[in-house]
Amino acid sequence: MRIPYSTVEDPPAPVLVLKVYSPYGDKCLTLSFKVDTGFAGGVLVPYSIYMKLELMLAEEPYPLLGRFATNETIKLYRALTKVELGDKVFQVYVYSSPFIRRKLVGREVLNKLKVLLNGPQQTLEVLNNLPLE
Amino acid sequence: MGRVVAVKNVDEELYRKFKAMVALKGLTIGEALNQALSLWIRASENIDVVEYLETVKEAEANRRVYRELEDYLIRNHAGKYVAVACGKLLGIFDSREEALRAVRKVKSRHAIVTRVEPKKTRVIELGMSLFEVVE
Repeated sequence: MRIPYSTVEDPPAPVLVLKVYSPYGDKCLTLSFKVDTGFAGGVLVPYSIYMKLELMLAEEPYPLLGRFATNETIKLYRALTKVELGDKVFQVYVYSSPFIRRKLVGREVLNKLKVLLNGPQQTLEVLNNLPLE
Repeated sequence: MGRVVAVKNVDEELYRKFKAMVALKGLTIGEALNQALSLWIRASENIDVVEYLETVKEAEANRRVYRELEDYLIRNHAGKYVAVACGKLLGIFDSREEALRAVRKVKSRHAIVTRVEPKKTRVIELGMSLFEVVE
């Protein structure tokens, strides 16, 4: 599976396109997530998307702390839900806070994949579709 | 000097906490209030703040219930799933799907659905993609 880099950013950035479901499976959104190996979580979404997918209706009991590179922290809410990458489906924690505006995919997802960042061709290639979970 | 504003109906408890935190951070009330107002405006551009605050209220009630029951649940129902919504425990279930179904039956803005197990506190690095270079 090859996904072209996002050219909205300059220089272009690698992205993963994931279909994120509501915990109840009745809603879903196909979204493009910037690949960020510095993000320790699974998937980070703006709170408007978190609400749209009703993720606050299946939340974990305790918010975690999200720490920026500047050492500032914010409360991060998270809920487990189903995510599709191509023909594979897996469970992943979706994180959010009202102060988040970007969509990121982090190491909880990336560490399950073999991904080739082909910079010269500006494509992200998922080398295997491992049976994830 | 900025404008002087008198505000009615400020929640006393909230204001007391606000003042304490302002003092800890070495700010003036005015400086902190300006920061709070701009944060509120920024958040409002992104989400329905009124809806969010109602959700926060329900979330706090649900978390309080879970916190009160946590030790009992871990001792007696480890590995099962619980659903908490509307400020009460909806039930203890064998699967996550059953817990989700229980939440579906009640009208709520927030719910906890989780596996009964000791919860680890964890700090999540947010990565550098949340920053951008502005030229």
